[in-house]
Amino acid sequence: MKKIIFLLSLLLPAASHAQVAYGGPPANPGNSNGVGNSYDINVQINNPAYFTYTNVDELLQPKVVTNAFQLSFKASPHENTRVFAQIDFSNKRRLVPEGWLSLKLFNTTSNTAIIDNSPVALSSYPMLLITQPPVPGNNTYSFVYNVILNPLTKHVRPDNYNFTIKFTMTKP
Amino acid sequence: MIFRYTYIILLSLLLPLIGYSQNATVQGNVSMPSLIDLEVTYPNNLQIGFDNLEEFAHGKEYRNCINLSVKSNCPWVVSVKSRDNMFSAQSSGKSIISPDIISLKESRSVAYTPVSNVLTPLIISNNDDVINQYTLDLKMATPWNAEGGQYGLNLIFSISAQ
Repeated sequence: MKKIIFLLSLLLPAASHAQVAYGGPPANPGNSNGVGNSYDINVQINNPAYFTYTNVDELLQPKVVTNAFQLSFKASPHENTRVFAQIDFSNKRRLVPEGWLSLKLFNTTSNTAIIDNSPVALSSYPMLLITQPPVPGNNTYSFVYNVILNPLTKHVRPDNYNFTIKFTMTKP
Repeated sequence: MIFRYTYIILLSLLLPLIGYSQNATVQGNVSMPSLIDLEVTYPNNLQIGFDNLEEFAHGKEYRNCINLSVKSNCPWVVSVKSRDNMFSAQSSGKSIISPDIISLKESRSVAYTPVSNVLTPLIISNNDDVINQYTLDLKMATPWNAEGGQYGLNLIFSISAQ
């Protein structure tokens, strides 16, 4: 009896979490969805965030991939849903300036979300991107973003810089 | 004992309510080649010369007479050379003046670098700024063997990645 109660207590949380757990590695590179239909957050690539410099003056101007991707998630009916973004460069031997890339909202289907109008500079630490207040029902909202490569003031050594922007959706 | 199991069951039920998170990712790329640009400007077409015997005897210095603007994403070195191995005579007079009567230096530095027809380093980047501005000082030594007249010399500035 004692063992059964103990086992039950261990299994219950696992069973509850299984409904929301991340679904494993992405299906295809460049468009790593956290989700198919069975998950709560999804990213769809509209225009790949690939940047190339062709002359030195481009270092001093922002480069923008408009309508780069669409972020969708189900809003919680009970509490705020927050989405954080952070960036990771695969080329660890090179120094990359903080805030080299930013995200700027292009459009959204939510008229209640709290979003900064100015671009959000990406860092290796999570930056708050979206706060969606609770909405009755099980509504899914979409947020389309531009990816901005910001002007440089310091050297960035010639190389190929692959990056991954990771979105984390939290519900309290 | 029954209370003990109740706590365990309650704890197990509360754990899922503490919160959860999900992730999604976007991948991208920045292709960064070596990018360097050098712009050289000088006022008044850089007409230099000796106005009197005193200047001729002691040479002449022109402060801040050439402007250099460097844009780069990596460390660099600016070098200078003369196009020819002698001044060219613009009027009467034989072309026997060596380029090394002209010396250049970055205005904040002390040592002058004589010009020759071999590329010689003049300024080496000492910071990681994309944009750097410099002015150059020019010193002209006395061309003792030259006849009076006008002489021309083309200077070639070049920049390369370190």
